[in-house]
Amino acid sequence: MKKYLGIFVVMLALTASAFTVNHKNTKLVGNEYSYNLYGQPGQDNASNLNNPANYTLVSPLICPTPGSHRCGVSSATDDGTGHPDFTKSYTIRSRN
Amino acid sequence: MKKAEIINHLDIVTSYLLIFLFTYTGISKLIDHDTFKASILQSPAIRNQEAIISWLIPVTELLIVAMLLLNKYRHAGLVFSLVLMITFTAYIGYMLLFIPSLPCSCGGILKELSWSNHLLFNSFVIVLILISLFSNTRQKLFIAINRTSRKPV
Repeated sequence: MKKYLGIFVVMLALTASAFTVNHKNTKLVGNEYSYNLYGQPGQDNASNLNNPANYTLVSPLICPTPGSHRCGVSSATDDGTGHPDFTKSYTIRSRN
Repeated sequence: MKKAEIINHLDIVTSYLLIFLFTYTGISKLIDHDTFKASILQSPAIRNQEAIISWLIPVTELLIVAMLLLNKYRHAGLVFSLVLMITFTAYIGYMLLFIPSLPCSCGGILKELSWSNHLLFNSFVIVLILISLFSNTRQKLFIAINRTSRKPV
């Protein structure tokens, strides 16, 4: 009995994680994306800012202090590959 | 249950607690890997090693779970858990001191905790592991001997 307690605890943890983890947002609109180049050289270059490949779908996006550098975008539409579609409307999020 | 009995079983109780904690956080980090990676990218201290760290942490956690599950490696598992928890706590301490407004890179429901609550939680776990390791070592110093056969029980 005691032998299987460890396995039971593992199963319990797996069940708990399945219920509490934020699964990937599959909806098309209203997504949040983190800007991967935040704080790195070239973070403010227009070519980098406008490249959807530099953004990662997250939930939730946390940018606690408003500032001058982009940390992500919210209320964006997914382009179908997990990146934002910049031809549609979106909100820029920034912090220092 | 006597106090001594509780202390004797503390390493087992702590092991199960750590098995739950590391399975839960490790799997959460793997399921929600993109969010975990994105939060690492926002942490200046570890941003450059994002690709390695985002896999190394959950894999290490699951390896420790495997060690804790096996009686033979339980003590080593507790030692590795202690090292990992101290590393996490040092990271949280650094973030609290130097970069106060950043998201947590931890998995699952634990990322809802504030930085200071996380520090308290980690400190509690560290103390628990230390007590377990100490009680485990003490247990090994005393061997019960059968009076008639004169063999260890």
